[in-house]
Amino acid sequence: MGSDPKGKKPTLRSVGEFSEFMGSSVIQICGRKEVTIDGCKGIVEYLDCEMKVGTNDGYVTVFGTDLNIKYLSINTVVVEGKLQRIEFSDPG
Amino acid sequence: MVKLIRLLRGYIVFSVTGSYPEKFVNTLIRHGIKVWGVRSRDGVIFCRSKASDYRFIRRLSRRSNSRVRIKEKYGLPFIVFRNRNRVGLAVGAVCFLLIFKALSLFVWNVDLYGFENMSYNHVKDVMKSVGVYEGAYGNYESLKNIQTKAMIDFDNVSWITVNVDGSCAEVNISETEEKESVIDSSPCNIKAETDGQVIRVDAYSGMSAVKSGDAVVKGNLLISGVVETELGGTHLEHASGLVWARTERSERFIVEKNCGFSEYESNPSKRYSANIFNITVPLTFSHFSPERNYFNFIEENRAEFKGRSASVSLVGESVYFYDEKEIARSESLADEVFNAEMLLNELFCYGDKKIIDRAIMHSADKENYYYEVRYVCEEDIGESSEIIVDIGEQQNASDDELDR
Repeated sequence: MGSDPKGKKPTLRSVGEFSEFMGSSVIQICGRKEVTIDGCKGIVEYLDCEMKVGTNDGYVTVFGTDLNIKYLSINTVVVEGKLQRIEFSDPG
Repeated sequence: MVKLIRLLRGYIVFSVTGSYPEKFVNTLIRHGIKVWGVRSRDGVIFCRSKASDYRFIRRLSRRSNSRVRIKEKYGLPFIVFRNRNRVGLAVGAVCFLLIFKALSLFVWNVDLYGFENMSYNHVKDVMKSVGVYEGAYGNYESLKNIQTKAMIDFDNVSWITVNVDGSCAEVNISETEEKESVIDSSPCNIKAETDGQVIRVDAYSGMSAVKSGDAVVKGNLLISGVVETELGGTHLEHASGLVWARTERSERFIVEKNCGFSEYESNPSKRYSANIFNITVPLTFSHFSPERNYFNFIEENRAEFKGRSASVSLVGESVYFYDEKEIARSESLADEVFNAEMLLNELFCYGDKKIIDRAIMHSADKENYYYEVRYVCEEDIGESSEIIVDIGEQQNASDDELDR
């Protein structure tokens, strides 16, 4: 996260920084082909047609077919495939 | 680009099995190992990662009770390793790189632009004489010198730019534009270009010195540029006008009794060759006897790559053989030749004259037929003749006129 010279207002340079600043995850859906989850805590479950990702707000489960992880980093996961639905659930 | 770098450095596809393969993938990410192309099939997760990271991945798998196994290997390091015993391949690859590097030092494509009045081959020859041609060493010390030399060799070129980009040379030529002729208004007379009888005088400026019906000889004054003023003095003008006169002209034509002609074979011999990097490789071996007379017609089809002509071309050569023969012309054939020559001559030399009458006289000796044509024409016989003026005298004349 960047900040201005006076150090008062933080300047956000990316969606990842924004999600970190807000304390909740940011989910971007691009058509039915791609979903980007910023602020993820890791993959919980990964099957052919279902992927469960842990976030600060709970779990996000992506349902679809041919689900692949296009990009994976410590904070972000980009899932591509033919998306069917996205479910939110609480931990535990 | 990323794909190319990955291929150069080598990458692997490995499978992760165990009770919680997802956890293992999370562990990899947390340890800073880059994985991509992650997919799950039947409870097995397949990942891609750098080949150099695999040792660390294997160590991590032992700690997290997961099992990893390499499924596929891609990239240059694996190709090199697989072919480590094939020395020929390595030598071939090195030779390829060396030849590639050596060839890239030469110019293999010369593009010529910007000229309309000169032929492509002429421009190509001149540029070749200054060192810009296909196959030339491309490390030109000074392109300015080349441009200057080319400018000297071309007659009517205002500027030339030569740019060398890798193995391609681009020559841009700008031809000089012909200047519009400046109307001459210096004092002059109109004099007779040839003998004749004046029919009509149209004097636009100056004073007419002849009238209809006058006979004139070559050099006689027709329209004078020295014009008298109302006050009795004179001033000089640029005389102009048309002086139509009836003239007599004669032309002589000689038609040889025996004449040579070329008898061509109806079907040309064709042969093809490929031009690769300025090296000609014959593709057909048709019979060719250099003792016979021939002329050849060469057609070059260049291969193009991304809109630029490549250094590979197919050259087709059509060779037309002919025999020199001689025939004796009959009188009627000679008449036909003469008529054709006379018509051509009239077309080009008498286009501005009106032919009133023509008389043809015919004679012959052992070798030739002779034809003499006497024309009676109507034409403008005036031609400009400069008046040479002594400035001192002219000044005195004007002063005298002012005094009066």
